[in-house]
Amino acid sequence: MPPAASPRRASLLSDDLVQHLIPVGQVDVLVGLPTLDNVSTVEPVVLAVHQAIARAFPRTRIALLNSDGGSQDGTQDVVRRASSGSADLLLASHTLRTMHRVVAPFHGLPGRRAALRTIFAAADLLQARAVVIVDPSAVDPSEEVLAALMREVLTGGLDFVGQAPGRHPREVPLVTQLVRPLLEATLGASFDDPLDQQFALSGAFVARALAASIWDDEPMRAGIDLALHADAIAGGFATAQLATRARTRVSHAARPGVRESIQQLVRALWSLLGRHESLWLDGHPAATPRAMALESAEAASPTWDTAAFERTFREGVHQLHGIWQDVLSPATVAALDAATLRQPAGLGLDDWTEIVIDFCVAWRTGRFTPDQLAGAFVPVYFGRLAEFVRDTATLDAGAARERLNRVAHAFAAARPALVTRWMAARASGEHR
Amino acid sequence: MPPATNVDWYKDAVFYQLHVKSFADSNGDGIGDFPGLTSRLEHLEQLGVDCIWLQPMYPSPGRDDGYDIADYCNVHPGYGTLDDFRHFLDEAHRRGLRVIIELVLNHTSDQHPWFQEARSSTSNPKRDWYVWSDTDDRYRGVRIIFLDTEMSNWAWDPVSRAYYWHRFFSHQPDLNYDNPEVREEMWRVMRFWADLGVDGFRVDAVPYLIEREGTSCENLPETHEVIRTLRARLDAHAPGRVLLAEANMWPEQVRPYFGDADEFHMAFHFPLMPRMFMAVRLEDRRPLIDIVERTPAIPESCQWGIFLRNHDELTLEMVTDLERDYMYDEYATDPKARINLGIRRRLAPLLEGDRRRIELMNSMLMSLPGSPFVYYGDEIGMGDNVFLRDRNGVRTPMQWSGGWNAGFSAADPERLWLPIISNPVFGYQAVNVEAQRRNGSSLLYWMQRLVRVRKSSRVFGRGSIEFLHPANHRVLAYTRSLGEETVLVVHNLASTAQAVELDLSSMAGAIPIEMFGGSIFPRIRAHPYAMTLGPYGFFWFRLRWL
Repeated sequence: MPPAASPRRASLLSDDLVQHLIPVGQVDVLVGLPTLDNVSTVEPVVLAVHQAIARAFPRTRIALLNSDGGSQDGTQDVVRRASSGSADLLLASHTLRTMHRVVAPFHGLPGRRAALRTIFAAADLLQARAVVIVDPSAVDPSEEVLAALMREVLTGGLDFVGQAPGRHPREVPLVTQLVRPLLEATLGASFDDPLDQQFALSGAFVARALAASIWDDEPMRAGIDLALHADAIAGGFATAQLATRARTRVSHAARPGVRESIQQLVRALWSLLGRHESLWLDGHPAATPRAMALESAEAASPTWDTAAFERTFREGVHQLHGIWQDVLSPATVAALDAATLRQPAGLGLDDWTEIVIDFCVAWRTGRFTPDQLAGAFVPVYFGRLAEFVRDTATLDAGAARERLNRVAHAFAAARPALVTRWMAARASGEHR
Repeated sequence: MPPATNVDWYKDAVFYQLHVKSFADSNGDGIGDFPGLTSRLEHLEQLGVDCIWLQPMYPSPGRDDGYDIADYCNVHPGYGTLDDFRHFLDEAHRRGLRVIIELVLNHTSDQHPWFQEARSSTSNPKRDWYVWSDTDDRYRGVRIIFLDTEMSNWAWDPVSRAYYWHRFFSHQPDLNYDNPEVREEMWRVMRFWADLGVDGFRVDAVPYLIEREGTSCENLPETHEVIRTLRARLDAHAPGRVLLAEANMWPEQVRPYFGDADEFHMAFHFPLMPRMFMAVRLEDRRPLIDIVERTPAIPESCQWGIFLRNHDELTLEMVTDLERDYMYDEYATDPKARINLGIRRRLAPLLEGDRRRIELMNSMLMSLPGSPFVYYGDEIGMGDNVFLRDRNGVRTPMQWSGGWNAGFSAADPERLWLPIISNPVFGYQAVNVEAQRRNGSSLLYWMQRLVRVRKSSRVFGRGSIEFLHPANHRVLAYTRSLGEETVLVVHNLASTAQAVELDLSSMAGAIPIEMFGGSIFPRIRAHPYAMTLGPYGFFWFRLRWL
């Protein structure tokens, strides 16, 4: 009989971390805390995790793994200190089992994706049935939310439970104007907030995700949360989202600017459409995540500086006119020019939808680098942002929400054109 | 119904062998039957096995445990009706259990109407369905299989005043496969059962179908041609059904029965079984490694069937005289336990009821290459009765409970077809399913877990094997690999704790995860991997590169 193959791969877990995981052994739940310079918020987050476990799962085998992406602000020390147990916490409640707390030393490329990969690999090694990824930057973390996330995967038979923060419809416009409607139009469904950083996963989902290409795909480096949410939908996993209160987040990590963030996100979004094209081109819509109520709160409407949005839009159109003529149809370029000349400037829904599709198709042809396209997309987005913010400025939340429905409908109506043009781009374009 | 698309399902399956008459009696006549078996399917579903192998359930005078068939298209009236069988089959399929049945191609009972017709007149159309001769000197030199009872392979028929050929008992005349009508009729039999929905056939006494002067009358090319034709017709008519060969021979002799994946899907690996017992008794891995390494490669779609015990004696035909003497001395000190060239004992008594050794043997069974067969009752450690005739001592009624007749039958004990095991060690009051279901640390629960762990990876049914050769000969270690998945298996064959250093340098970087408990072991490095094992202890590790 032939000798066994000896697969050699780079280690995802450092030897030091493996040594720490050996005494942990098999667990039911792994709570993953991916940190990166979260010193100001992480302590209450860790305490909330402890409270959630002590009150809701005192008999369950649980470990807490802090996977740090390279903090320089002492985050790991705070986690160690918080994990050692405060007197108040011990008096209030305790678990029956030893809860292992592991602080993983920095290993590999810095960033949230590397931290999540470490957590996923550790969960796989520990054969965790459920993994809860905790947001370390929430100002007012909720033990109820953490317990509910844990419960729905551990005992509810779900594979991916996200959050649907109760935001005002004018908030997170990048999600409401682009990410969510585009995912719904292609995959057939989306989480309310597919960029959210707190969610719970089944062991089966973690094993699948660990084997996926998202860890080596450069555009996914900054879009890992989006990739995981989308993979759960596209992969046919049992999904749900908990309605929660929107929480303030604070991060001291060196964050990219707004422009760069938008560019990173659209690159990730296009890459996602490419990864899942066999699914959405076939026209088999994925199931919508089951809605589950937990908290309710009506957030206040945010205020925006529309003048700045308009300025960015006009300047960008002027500077990037050359690229747009290659990417967009002549009619769309004309509409774009007209939109910059209007007072006030901004992009209506029809033009916006058309332009988003043009950019997706241009990405699929492979004739432009993703960086080129993403850079050219930024001012367009600001044009749409200016229009949306102005259009909804005087509306109440209900009416503003209705505007979001129109966006979803416009993208859904554009789906046949997107499919046709995407397939044509795939057939004629370069290999991507 | 199990998924029909998975045509090579048998490669991952765990089989469970049972005899209807010994399993459960529903009507209180002392004989197990199909309604009784149907009522006990939950036990098999919980155990986690995939396929039931039914021993002969045909009408039969019962002079060879049902292997003397008198009607190929019906069930023994003592076991129920054909409708009872259909209901059983439907219920098994509903639970995800497949069913293969016995098919005795080589011979019939002398009570079969075909033989009765054949002997009635030399001009009868069925006359040529059997092998006749005016003298008993044809095929001289062909070995006699049942030396204890038979003097010749020819028997005199006083009715038609001629000799007929039989390789087994004289009441089992061999069919004449040179006659196309016989081949056509046996295909009709297979089609009948396939159309009912059975998932395959365990074909008995395969090598003896054809006779030719001047040969051993075994394994002849014409026999392979018969098998190839039947396989092709079965594949075309009912894809996904399995043919399993019984050929008690060396693996290199069995190999031709796989053909080019166009004869049998599966064949039993007979010589492996005694060597597992021998390795544990000798506390030395060598006998086992020798036989596995001697086993030739088989086509991708084919599979070995491996087992610890079955309805026959622990056969010692495939061992040397020296080895046979050793096995008799160690496992059959009581001469009554010896029969033919083997030992008529069940697994638990052979291992003196030692739970650790029972677990060790089952661990080897479930992790070596092949699909494992579990013999009914061995999952609870049932005992045997060497005082019963022939091999009936290992065919006694299943012990379901500590109640009346072990829960097997409501009949008076005197009516049971065989007495229940009642001794203080293995008797039904000490060893039964009900008691073990109430005890989370019972052998039954352990077996259930073993089956589940085996089924958690396809590496066991389909993977390659590579033995490790640590200096400590009491330790049997091997890897099973399939694609990117590798499992490391380590057994301590000794009754004492052992330390061992394994050269796992080719797997450096992997992290071993113990498969039964999920415990994580230190990462493998280029240097020898040290390990200690308790008496008869073992580990299965899934290797992960994380």
